Amino acid sequence: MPYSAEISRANPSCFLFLIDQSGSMEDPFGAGGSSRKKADLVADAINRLLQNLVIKCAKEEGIRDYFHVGVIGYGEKVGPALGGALAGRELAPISDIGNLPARVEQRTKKVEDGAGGLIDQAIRFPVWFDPIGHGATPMCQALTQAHTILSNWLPQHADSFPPIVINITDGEATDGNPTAAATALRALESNDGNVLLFNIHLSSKGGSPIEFPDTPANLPDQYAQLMFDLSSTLTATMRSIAQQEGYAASESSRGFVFNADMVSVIKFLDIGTRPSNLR
Amino acid sequence: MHVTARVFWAPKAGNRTEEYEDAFWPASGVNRAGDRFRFAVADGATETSFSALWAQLLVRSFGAGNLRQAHFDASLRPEQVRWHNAVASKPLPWYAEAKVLDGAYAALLGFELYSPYPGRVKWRALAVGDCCLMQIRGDGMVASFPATEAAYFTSRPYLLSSNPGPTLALSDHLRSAGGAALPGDRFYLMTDALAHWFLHAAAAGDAPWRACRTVVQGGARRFAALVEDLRSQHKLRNDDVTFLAVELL
Repeated sequence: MPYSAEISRANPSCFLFLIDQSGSMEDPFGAGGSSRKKADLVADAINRLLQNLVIKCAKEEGIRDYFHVGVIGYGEKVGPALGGALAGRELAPISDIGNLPARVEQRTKKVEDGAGGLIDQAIRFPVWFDPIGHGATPMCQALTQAHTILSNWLPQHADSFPPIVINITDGEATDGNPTAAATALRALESNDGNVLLFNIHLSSKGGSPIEFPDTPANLPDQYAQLMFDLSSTLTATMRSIAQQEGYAASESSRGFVFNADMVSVIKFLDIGTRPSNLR
Repeated sequence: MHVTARVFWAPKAGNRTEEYEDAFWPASGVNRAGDRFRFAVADGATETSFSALWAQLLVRSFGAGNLRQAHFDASLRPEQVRWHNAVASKPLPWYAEAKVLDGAYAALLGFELYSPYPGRVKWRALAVGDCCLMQIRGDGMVASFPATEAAYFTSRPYLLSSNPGPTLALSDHLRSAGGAALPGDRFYLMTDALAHWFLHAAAAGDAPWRACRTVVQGGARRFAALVEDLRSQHKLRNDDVTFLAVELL
Protein backbone atom coordinates (compact mmCIF):
# COMPACT_ATOMS: atom_id res chain seq x y z
CA MET A 1 0.00 0.00 0.00
CA PRO A 2 1.53 3.41 -0.90
CA TYR A 3 2.15 6.13 1.66
CA SER A 4 2.67 3.57 4.41
CA ALA A 5 6.45 3.74 4.91
CA GLU A 6 7.53 4.18 8.51
CA ILE A 7 8.88 7.68 9.21
CA SER A 8 11.89 7.33 11.50
CA ARG A 9 15.36 8.69 12.10
CA ALA A 10 16.79 5.88 9.97
CA ASN A 11 14.20 6.56 7.24
CA PRO A 12 13.31 10.27 7.38
CA SER A 13 10.84 12.01 5.13
CA CYS A 14 11.04 15.52 3.69
CA PHE A 15 9.01 18.73 3.89
CA LEU A 16 9.60 21.52 1.40
CA PHE A 17 7.73 24.79 1.88
CA LEU A 18 7.37 27.31 -0.95
CA ILE A 19 6.42 30.75 0.31
CA ASP A 20 5.15 33.58 -1.86
CA GLN A 21 7.07 36.72 -0.88
CA SER A 22 5.95 38.81 -3.86
CA GLY A 23 4.66 42.39 -3.92
CA SER A 24 1.03 41.26 -4.11
CA MET A 25 1.43 39.87 -0.61
CA GLU A 26 1.48 43.47 0.61
CA ASP A 27 -2.24 43.67 -0.24
CA PRO A 28 -4.72 43.25 2.58
CA PHE A 29 -5.97 39.78 3.35
CA GLY A 30 -9.67 39.20 2.76
CA ALA A 31 -12.34 41.77 1.99
CA GLY A 32 -13.82 44.20 4.50
CA GLY A 33 -10.82 46.39 5.32
CA SER A 34 -8.73 43.97 7.36
CA SER A 35 -5.55 45.52 8.71
CA ARG A 36 -3.62 42.33 8.12
CA LYS A 37 -1.71 41.86 4.91
CA LYS A 38 -1.40 38.56 3.07
CA ALA A 39 2.30 38.67 3.88
CA ASP A 40 1.41 38.59 7.61
CA LEU A 41 -0.61 35.44 7.06
CA VAL A 42 2.14 33.80 5.04
CA ALA A 43 4.62 34.48 7.83
CA ASP A 44 2.14 33.18 10.43
CA ALA A 45 1.42 30.08 8.33
CA ILE A 46 5.06 29.10 7.79
CA ASN A 47 6.05 29.88 11.39
CA ARG A 48 3.20 27.75 12.76
CA LEU A 49 3.89 24.91 10.34
CA LEU A 50 7.56 24.80 11.34
CA GLN A 51 6.70 25.15 15.02
CA ASN A 52 4.20 22.27 14.91
CA LEU A 53 6.55 20.06 12.92
CA VAL A 54 9.36 20.64 15.45
CA ILE A 55 7.03 19.93 18.37
CA LYS A 56 5.81 16.73 16.71
CA CYS A 57 9.41 15.50 16.52
CA ALA A 58 10.50 16.69 19.96
CA LYS A 59 11.17 14.26 22.79
CA GLU A 60 12.78 14.74 26.17
CA GLU A 61 16.31 14.23 24.82
CA GLY A 62 15.92 16.68 21.93
CA ILE A 63 14.38 16.81 18.46
CA ARG A 64 14.33 13.56 16.51
CA ASP A 65 15.26 14.00 12.85
CA TYR A 66 12.17 12.40 11.34
CA PHE A 67 12.17 15.08 8.61
CA HIS A 68 14.51 17.09 6.44
CA VAL A 69 13.03 20.54 5.88
CA GLY A 70 13.54 23.33 3.39
CA VAL A 71 11.88 26.67 2.70
CA ILE A 72 12.07 28.33 -0.74
CA GLY A 73 10.93 31.93 -0.97
CA TYR A 74 9.81 33.38 -4.28
CA GLY A 75 9.38 37.08 -5.00
CA GLU A 76 12.21 39.37 -5.94
CA LYS A 77 14.32 36.24 -6.15
CA VAL A 78 13.81 32.50 -5.81
CA GLY A 79 15.90 30.52 -3.36
CA PRO A 80 16.38 29.14 0.15
CA ALA A 81 14.62 31.59 2.48
CA LEU A 82 15.64 30.54 5.97
CA GLY A 83 17.81 33.12 7.69
CA GLY A 84 20.43 33.42 10.38
CA ALA A 85 22.48 30.29 10.95
CA LEU A 86 20.26 28.41 8.47
CA ALA A 87 20.82 30.92 5.63
CA GLY A 88 21.36 29.42 2.21
CA ARG A 89 20.50 25.85 3.20
CA GLU A 90 18.19 24.03 0.79
CA LEU A 91 17.38 21.30 3.30
CA ALA A 92 18.19 20.96 7.01
CA PRO A 93 17.27 18.31 9.57
CA ILE A 94 14.26 19.34 11.67
CA SER A 95 16.48 19.52 14.77
CA ASP A 96 18.43 22.38 13.19
CA ILE A 97 15.19 24.17 12.38
CA GLY A 98 13.99 23.79 15.97
CA ASN A 99 17.26 24.86 17.55
CA LEU A 100 17.86 27.86 15.25
CA PRO A 101 14.77 30.10 14.96
CA ALA A 102 15.44 33.77 14.16
CA ARG A 103 14.07 34.69 17.59
CA VAL A 104 11.75 33.39 20.33
CA GLU A 105 8.85 35.61 21.47
CA GLN A 106 6.84 35.50 24.68
CA ARG A 107 3.12 34.97 24.14
CA THR A 108 0.16 33.57 26.06
CA LYS A 109 -2.02 30.58 25.26
CA LYS A 110 -5.31 29.37 26.78
CA VAL A 111 -5.08 26.01 28.51
CA GLU A 112 -7.64 23.93 30.41
CA ASP A 113 -7.41 24.25 34.18
CA GLY A 114 -8.84 20.81 34.94
CA ALA A 115 -12.06 22.26 36.39
CA GLY A 116 -13.77 22.99 33.10
CA GLY A 117 -12.27 26.46 32.67
CA LEU A 118 -9.42 28.10 30.78
CA ILE A 119 -6.41 29.99 32.09
CA ASP A 120 -3.64 31.97 30.42
CA GLN A 121 -0.33 30.18 30.13
CA ALA A 122 2.91 31.97 29.20
CA ILE A 123 4.59 30.24 26.27
CA ARG A 124 7.60 30.86 24.09
CA PHE A 125 6.79 31.23 20.39
CA PRO A 126 9.62 30.75 17.86
CA VAL A 127 9.77 32.91 14.74
CA TRP A 128 11.66 31.98 11.61
CA PHE A 129 10.02 34.39 9.16
CA ASP A 130 8.85 37.98 9.15
CA PRO A 131 6.35 39.25 6.56
CA ILE A 132 7.92 40.13 3.19
CA GLY A 133 6.28 41.36 -0.01
CA HIS A 134 8.48 42.54 -2.91
CA GLY A 135 8.70 41.81 -6.61
CA ALA A 136 6.89 39.47 -8.99
CA THR A 137 5.53 35.96 -8.34
CA PRO A 138 7.81 33.43 -10.05
CA MET A 139 5.88 30.37 -8.84
CA CYS A 140 6.93 28.19 -11.81
CA GLN A 141 10.54 28.85 -10.95
CA ALA A 142 9.91 27.94 -7.31
CA LEU A 143 8.21 24.68 -8.29
CA THR A 144 11.11 23.88 -10.62
CA GLN A 145 13.65 24.57 -7.89
CA ALA A 146 11.68 22.25 -5.61
CA HIS A 147 11.91 19.62 -8.34
CA THR A 148 15.70 19.98 -8.44
CA ILE A 149 16.07 19.74 -4.67
CA LEU A 150 13.88 16.65 -4.40
CA SER A 151 15.51 15.01 -7.45
CA ASN A 152 18.78 15.16 -5.52
CA TRP A 153 17.27 14.02 -2.21
CA LEU A 154 15.15 11.09 -3.40
CA PRO A 155 17.89 8.74 -4.69
CA GLN A 156 19.47 8.78 -1.21
CA HIS A 157 16.11 8.14 0.48
CA ALA A 158 14.46 5.69 -1.89
CA ASP A 159 12.27 4.03 0.76
CA SER A 160 11.13 7.23 2.41
CA PHE A 161 7.56 8.29 3.02
CA PRO A 162 7.18 10.54 -0.04
CA PRO A 163 8.18 14.19 0.37
CA ILE A 164 5.45 16.76 0.97
CA VAL A 165 5.65 20.17 -0.70
CA ILE A 166 3.43 22.91 0.77
CA ASN A 167 3.02 26.05 -1.32
CA ILE A 168 1.68 29.16 0.45
CA THR A 169 0.50 31.78 -2.05
CA ASP A 170 -2.21 34.07 -3.33
CA GLY A 171 -2.15 32.02 -6.50
CA GLU A 172 -1.32 34.73 -9.07
CA ALA A 173 1.85 33.43 -10.73
CA THR A 174 3.61 35.93 -13.03
CA ASP A 175 5.98 33.54 -14.80
CA GLY A 176 3.43 31.44 -16.62
CA ASN A 177 0.91 28.73 -15.84
CA PRO A 178 2.37 26.61 -13.02
CA THR A 179 0.50 23.46 -14.09
CA ALA A 180 3.40 21.87 -15.99
CA ALA A 181 5.94 22.53 -13.23
CA ALA A 182 3.51 21.24 -10.58
CA THR A 183 2.79 18.10 -12.59
CA ALA A 184 6.50 17.40 -13.01
CA LEU A 185 7.03 17.85 -9.27
CA ARG A 186 4.23 15.44 -8.40
CA ALA A 187 5.69 12.91 -10.85
CA LEU A 188 8.77 12.50 -8.63
CA GLU A 189 8.48 9.50 -6.36
CA SER A 190 10.04 7.30 -3.71
CA ASN A 191 9.35 3.57 -3.54
CA ASP A 192 6.41 4.43 -1.29
CA GLY A 193 4.59 6.80 -3.65
CA ASN A 194 4.61 10.12 -5.47
CA VAL A 195 5.64 13.46 -4.04
CA LEU A 196 2.63 15.25 -2.55
CA LEU A 197 1.99 18.90 -3.45
CA PHE A 198 -0.39 20.76 -1.15
CA ASN A 199 -1.45 24.40 -1.51
CA ILE A 200 -2.50 27.09 0.95
CA HIS A 201 -4.29 29.82 -0.99
CA LEU A 202 -4.72 33.20 0.69
CA SER A 203 -7.00 35.67 -1.05
CA SER A 204 -7.53 39.44 -0.99
CA LYS A 205 -11.07 38.91 -2.21
CA GLY A 206 -12.42 37.45 1.00
CA GLY A 207 -14.45 34.31 1.22
CA SER A 208 -15.05 31.85 4.03
CA PRO A 209 -12.28 29.41 4.92
CA ILE A 210 -12.44 26.16 2.99
CA GLU A 211 -10.43 23.14 4.16
CA PHE A 212 -9.60 20.02 2.17
CA PRO A 213 -12.41 20.30 -0.39
CA ASP A 214 -13.11 17.50 -2.85
CA THR A 215 -14.52 19.82 -5.50
CA PRO A 216 -13.53 23.28 -6.79
CA ALA A 217 -17.20 24.17 -7.10
CA ASN A 218 -17.37 26.54 -4.10
CA LEU A 219 -14.04 28.27 -4.77
CA PRO A 220 -14.42 31.97 -5.58
CA ASP A 221 -12.14 32.49 -8.56
CA GLN A 222 -9.83 31.00 -11.20
CA TYR A 223 -6.73 31.29 -9.01
CA ALA A 224 -8.24 29.27 -6.22
CA GLN A 225 -9.52 26.73 -8.72
CA LEU A 226 -6.07 26.44 -10.27
CA MET A 227 -4.44 25.91 -6.88
CA PHE A 228 -7.07 23.23 -6.15
CA ASP A 229 -6.26 21.49 -9.45
CA LEU A 230 -2.54 21.48 -8.66
CA SER A 231 -3.05 19.88 -5.24
CA SER A 232 -2.55 16.16 -4.56
CA THR A 233 -5.34 14.26 -2.85
CA LEU A 234 -4.91 13.37 0.82
CA THR A 235 -3.52 9.87 1.39
CA ALA A 236 -5.80 7.19 2.84
CA THR A 237 -4.18 7.48 6.27
CA MET A 238 -4.39 11.27 6.23
CA ARG A 239 -8.04 11.02 5.29
CA SER A 240 -8.76 8.58 8.09
CA ILE A 241 -7.07 10.81 10.67
CA ALA A 242 -8.76 13.91 9.24
CA GLN A 243 -12.13 12.21 9.72
CA GLN A 244 -11.25 11.29 13.30
CA GLU A 245 -10.32 14.94 13.86
CA GLY A 246 -13.77 16.00 12.65
CA TYR A 247 -13.05 16.96 9.02
CA ALA A 248 -15.45 15.82 6.30
CA ALA A 249 -12.82 14.16 4.11
CA SER A 250 -13.70 12.03 1.09
CA GLU A 251 -11.54 9.98 -1.27
CA SER A 252 -11.23 13.02 -3.51
CA SER A 253 -10.30 15.50 -0.75
CA ARG A 254 -7.30 17.55 -1.77
CA GLY A 255 -4.41 18.84 0.30
CA PHE A 256 -5.72 22.35 -0.30
CA VAL A 257 -7.05 25.07 1.96
CA PHE A 258 -8.48 28.46 1.06
CA ASN A 259 -8.11 31.37 3.50
CA ALA A 260 -7.18 28.93 6.24
CA ASP A 261 -4.07 27.35 7.69
CA MET A 262 -2.79 23.84 7.16
CA VAL A 263 -1.31 23.09 10.58
CA SER A 264 -3.73 20.16 10.82
CA VAL A 265 -1.74 18.33 8.10
CA ILE A 266 1.05 17.92 10.64
CA LYS A 267 -1.43 15.99 12.80
CA PHE A 268 -2.36 13.82 9.81
CA LEU A 269 1.17 12.37 9.65
CA ASP A 270 1.64 9.10 11.51
CA ILE A 271 4.92 8.76 13.43
CA GLY A 272 3.43 6.61 16.18
CA THR A 273 0.69 6.69 18.79
CA ARG A 274 -1.00 10.06 19.15
CA PRO A 275 -3.70 10.24 21.85
CA SER A 276 -7.18 11.06 20.57
CA ASN A 277 -7.62 13.41 23.56
CA LEU A 278 -4.46 15.44 22.81
CA ARG A 279 -5.49 18.81 21.32
CA MET B 1 -2.43 -19.20 45.98
CA HIS B 2 0.97 -19.45 44.43
CA VAL B 3 1.79 -17.17 41.52
CA THR B 4 4.74 -16.85 39.18
CA ALA B 5 5.35 -14.00 36.77
CA ARG B 6 8.02 -13.10 34.22
CA VAL B 7 8.34 -10.01 32.08
CA PHE B 8 9.89 -9.67 28.62
CA TRP B 9 10.38 -6.39 26.78
CA ALA B 10 12.10 -4.80 23.79
CA PRO B 11 12.31 -1.26 22.43
CA LYS B 12 11.05 -0.35 18.98
CA ALA B 13 13.54 -1.44 16.29
CA GLY B 14 15.78 1.53 15.48
CA ASN B 15 15.41 3.02 18.96
CA ARG B 16 17.90 2.82 21.79
CA THR B 17 17.05 0.88 24.94
CA GLU B 18 16.75 4.17 26.89
CA GLU B 19 14.02 5.24 24.45
CA TYR B 20 11.68 2.41 25.46
CA GLU B 21 8.43 4.04 26.65
CA ASP B 22 6.42 1.12 27.99
CA ALA B 23 6.45 0.31 31.71
CA PHE B 24 5.57 -2.71 33.83
CA TRP B 25 4.96 -3.65 37.44
CA PRO B 26 6.49 -5.33 39.33
CA ALA B 27 9.95 -4.47 38.08
CA SER B 28 11.19 -8.06 38.35
CA GLY B 29 9.81 -11.59 38.36
CA VAL B 30 7.50 -13.09 40.96
CA ASN B 31 7.48 -16.57 42.51
CA ARG B 32 5.64 -16.73 45.82
CA ALA B 33 2.48 -17.53 47.71
CA GLY B 34 0.05 -14.85 48.82
CA ASP B 35 -3.56 -13.64 48.95
CA ARG B 36 -3.25 -10.70 46.58
CA PHE B 37 -1.07 -9.85 43.58
CA ARG B 38 -1.07 -6.76 41.42
CA PHE B 39 0.45 -6.43 37.97
CA ALA B 40 0.38 -3.63 35.43
CA VAL B 41 1.66 -2.63 32.00
CA ALA B 42 1.56 0.85 30.49
CA ASP B 43 2.43 2.28 27.08
CA GLY B 44 3.68 5.87 26.83
CA ALA B 45 2.54 7.68 23.66
CA THR B 46 5.16 8.28 20.96
CA GLU B 47 3.96 11.78 20.19
CA THR B 48 4.21 13.14 23.72
CA SER B 49 7.32 13.77 25.79
CA PHE B 50 8.33 12.33 29.13
CA SER B 51 5.87 9.54 28.30
CA ALA B 52 8.12 6.84 29.82
CA LEU B 53 8.14 8.68 33.15
CA TRP B 54 4.34 8.96 33.09
CA ALA B 55 3.98 5.25 32.25
CA GLN B 56 6.29 4.38 35.17
CA LEU B 57 4.30 6.53 37.62
CA LEU B 58 1.05 4.86 36.53
CA VAL B 59 2.21 1.24 36.92
CA ARG B 60 3.84 1.96 40.28
CA SER B 61 0.70 3.66 41.54
CA PHE B 62 -1.43 0.70 40.46
CA GLY B 63 1.04 -1.72 42.00
CA ALA B 64 0.80 0.14 45.30
CA GLY B 65 -2.99 -0.19 45.24
CA ASN B 66 -3.60 3.55 44.72
CA LEU B 67 -5.41 3.38 41.38
CA ARG B 68 -8.83 1.79 41.67
CA GLN B 69 -11.92 1.93 39.52
CA ALA B 70 -13.79 4.04 42.09
CA HIS B 71 -12.56 7.68 42.14
CA PHE B 72 -9.98 6.81 39.50
CA ASP B 73 -9.65 10.38 38.24
CA ALA B 74 -9.07 11.72 41.76
CA SER B 75 -6.44 9.05 42.40
CA LEU B 76 -4.61 10.19 39.24
CA ARG B 77 -4.03 13.68 40.66
CA PRO B 78 -1.03 12.85 42.91
CA GLU B 79 0.69 11.15 39.96
CA GLN B 80 -0.03 14.16 37.73
CA VAL B 81 1.56 16.41 40.36
CA ARG B 82 4.57 14.08 40.62
CA TRP B 83 5.03 14.16 36.86
CA HIS B 84 4.86 17.94 36.68
CA ASN B 85 7.31 18.37 39.54
CA ALA B 86 9.76 15.99 37.87
CA VAL B 87 9.71 17.64 34.43
CA ALA B 88 9.37 21.27 35.48
CA SER B 89 12.46 21.23 37.63
CA LYS B 90 14.92 22.00 34.84
CA PRO B 91 15.13 24.74 32.19
CA LEU B 92 13.94 23.45 28.82
CA PRO B 93 14.24 24.64 25.20
CA TRP B 94 11.04 26.18 23.75
CA TYR B 95 9.92 22.94 22.04
CA ALA B 96 10.39 20.79 25.13
CA GLU B 97 8.48 23.38 27.16
CA ALA B 98 5.62 23.21 24.64
CA LYS B 99 5.59 19.40 24.96
CA VAL B 100 5.49 19.65 28.76
CA LEU B 101 2.45 21.96 28.48
CA ASP B 102 0.77 19.33 26.28
CA GLY B 103 1.45 16.70 28.92
CA ALA B 104 2.40 13.06 28.64
CA TYR B 105 -0.10 10.35 27.72
CA ALA B 106 -0.15 6.61 28.29
CA ALA B 107 -2.36 3.55 28.09
CA LEU B 108 -2.65 1.53 31.30
CA LEU B 109 -3.73 -2.01 32.13
CA GLY B 110 -3.92 -2.99 35.79
CA PHE B 111 -4.58 -6.61 36.82
CA GLU B 112 -5.19 -8.07 40.23
CA LEU B 113 -5.45 -11.67 41.47
CA TYR B 114 -7.04 -12.05 44.88
CA SER B 115 -8.47 -14.72 47.12
CA PRO B 116 -11.85 -13.65 48.57
CA TYR B 117 -11.80 -16.76 50.76
CA PRO B 118 -9.55 -19.84 50.98
CA GLY B 119 -9.58 -22.03 47.91
CA ARG B 120 -11.16 -19.43 45.65
CA VAL B 121 -9.24 -17.10 43.33
CA LYS B 122 -10.71 -14.22 41.36
CA TRP B 123 -9.27 -11.62 39.05
CA ARG B 124 -10.19 -8.09 38.16
CA ALA B 125 -8.69 -5.61 35.75
CA LEU B 126 -9.03 -2.02 34.67
CA ALA B 127 -7.84 -0.41 31.46
CA VAL B 128 -7.62 2.88 29.61
CA GLY B 129 -6.33 2.58 26.05
CA ASP B 130 -5.08 -0.47 24.21
CA CYS B 131 -2.89 -2.55 26.51
CA CYS B 132 -4.52 -5.98 26.76
CA LEU B 133 -5.04 -8.92 29.08
CA MET B 134 -5.57 -12.46 27.81
CA GLN B 135 -6.68 -15.33 30.04
CA ILE B 136 -5.43 -18.70 28.79
CA ARG B 137 -6.70 -22.01 30.15
CA GLY B 138 -5.32 -25.27 28.78
CA ASP B 139 -4.92 -24.87 25.04
CA GLY B 140 -7.41 -22.05 24.61
CA MET B 141 -8.14 -18.40 25.35
CA VAL B 142 -11.10 -17.89 27.66
CA ALA B 143 -11.10 -14.09 27.84
CA SER B 144 -9.41 -10.99 26.45
CA PHE B 145 -9.80 -7.48 27.78
CA PRO B 146 -10.47 -4.73 26.83
CA ALA B 147 -9.95 -5.75 23.18
CA THR B 148 -11.69 -8.83 21.91
CA GLU B 149 -10.49 -8.50 18.30
CA ALA B 150 -7.67 -6.94 16.30
CA ALA B 151 -10.00 -4.23 14.92
CA TYR B 152 -9.99 -2.60 18.37
CA PHE B 153 -6.55 -1.10 17.77
CA THR B 154 -6.06 2.38 16.28
CA SER B 155 -3.15 4.81 16.23
CA ARG B 156 -5.39 7.38 17.99
CA PRO B 157 -6.58 5.81 21.26
CA TYR B 158 -7.93 7.75 24.26
CA LEU B 159 -5.13 7.77 26.85
CA LEU B 160 -4.46 8.89 30.41
CA SER B 161 -2.98 12.38 30.53
CA SER B 162 -0.56 13.89 33.01
CA ASN B 163 -2.70 17.07 32.72
CA PRO B 164 -6.07 17.14 34.50
CA GLY B 165 -7.97 18.79 31.62
CA PRO B 166 -7.87 16.09 28.92
CA THR B 167 -9.14 13.40 31.29
CA LEU B 168 -12.48 15.06 31.92
CA ALA B 169 -14.13 12.34 29.78
CA LEU B 170 -12.28 9.58 31.62
CA SER B 171 -15.36 7.75 32.91
CA ASP B 172 -16.38 7.07 29.30
CA HIS B 173 -13.06 5.36 28.60
CA LEU B 174 -12.17 3.54 31.84
CA ARG B 175 -12.98 -0.13 31.30
CA SER B 176 -13.15 -2.86 33.93
CA ALA B 177 -13.67 -6.60 33.96
CA GLY B 178 -13.31 -9.58 36.27
CA GLY B 179 -13.81 -13.28 36.62
CA ALA B 180 -12.77 -16.53 38.21
CA ALA B 181 -9.24 -17.96 38.03
CA LEU B 182 -8.36 -21.64 38.22
CA PRO B 183 -5.02 -23.27 38.97
CA GLY B 184 -3.06 -23.53 35.72
CA ASP B 185 -4.57 -20.37 34.25
CA ARG B 186 -2.14 -18.05 32.51
CA PHE B 187 -2.73 -14.32 32.28
CA TYR B 188 -0.80 -12.42 29.63
CA LEU B 189 -0.52 -8.64 29.86
CA MET B 190 0.70 -6.96 26.65
CA THR B 191 1.11 -3.52 25.20
CA ASP B 192 -0.67 -2.83 21.93
CA ALA B 193 1.71 -4.03 19.21
CA LEU B 194 2.03 -7.54 20.67
CA ALA B 195 -1.65 -7.63 21.66
CA HIS B 196 -2.67 -6.75 18.11
CA TRP B 197 -0.59 -9.63 16.73
CA PHE B 198 -1.93 -12.01 19.38
CA LEU B 199 -5.62 -11.29 18.69
CA HIS B 200 -5.12 -11.33 14.94
CA ALA B 201 -3.34 -14.70 15.18
CA ALA B 202 -5.98 -16.09 17.55
CA ALA B 203 -8.75 -15.16 15.12
CA ALA B 204 -6.82 -16.91 12.34
CA GLY B 205 -6.66 -20.09 14.40
CA ASP B 206 -2.89 -19.90 14.99
CA ALA B 207 -3.10 -20.42 18.79
CA PRO B 208 -0.52 -17.70 19.62
CA TRP B 209 -0.60 -18.66 23.30
CA ARG B 210 1.56 -21.65 22.35
CA ALA B 211 4.32 -19.34 21.07
CA CYS B 212 3.93 -17.27 24.24
CA ARG B 213 4.26 -20.37 26.42
CA THR B 214 7.45 -21.28 24.58
CA VAL B 215 8.80 -17.80 25.34
CA VAL B 216 7.99 -18.10 29.04
CA GLN B 217 9.76 -21.47 29.19
CA GLY B 218 12.64 -20.42 26.92
CA GLY B 219 13.46 -17.00 28.38
CA ALA B 220 14.69 -13.67 27.01
CA ARG B 221 16.47 -15.11 23.97
CA ARG B 222 13.37 -16.94 22.87
CA PHE B 223 11.39 -13.71 23.26
CA ALA B 224 13.89 -11.74 21.18
CA ALA B 225 13.75 -14.40 18.48
CA LEU B 226 9.95 -14.30 18.41
CA VAL B 227 9.88 -10.49 18.14
CA GLU B 228 12.44 -10.46 15.35
CA ASP B 229 10.62 -13.21 13.51
CA LEU B 230 7.24 -11.48 13.73
CA ARG B 231 8.66 -8.07 12.77
CA SER B 232 10.43 -9.49 9.71
CA GLN B 233 7.15 -11.04 8.56
CA HIS B 234 5.36 -7.72 9.20
CA LYS B 235 3.04 -9.48 11.64
CA LEU B 236 4.21 -7.27 14.50
CA ARG B 237 4.10 -3.49 14.05
CA ASN B 238 7.43 -1.84 14.84
CA ASP B 239 6.85 -0.45 18.33
CA ASP B 240 7.98 -1.04 21.93
CA VAL B 241 6.95 -4.57 23.00
CA THR B 242 6.08 -5.65 26.54
CA PHE B 243 4.88 -9.10 27.62
CA LEU B 244 4.14 -9.82 31.29
CA ALA B 245 3.24 -13.50 31.78
CA VAL B 246 1.47 -14.45 35.01
CA GLU B 247 0.65 -18.03 36.00
CA LEU B 248 -1.57 -19.23 38.81
CA LEU B 249 -0.13 -22.52 40.02
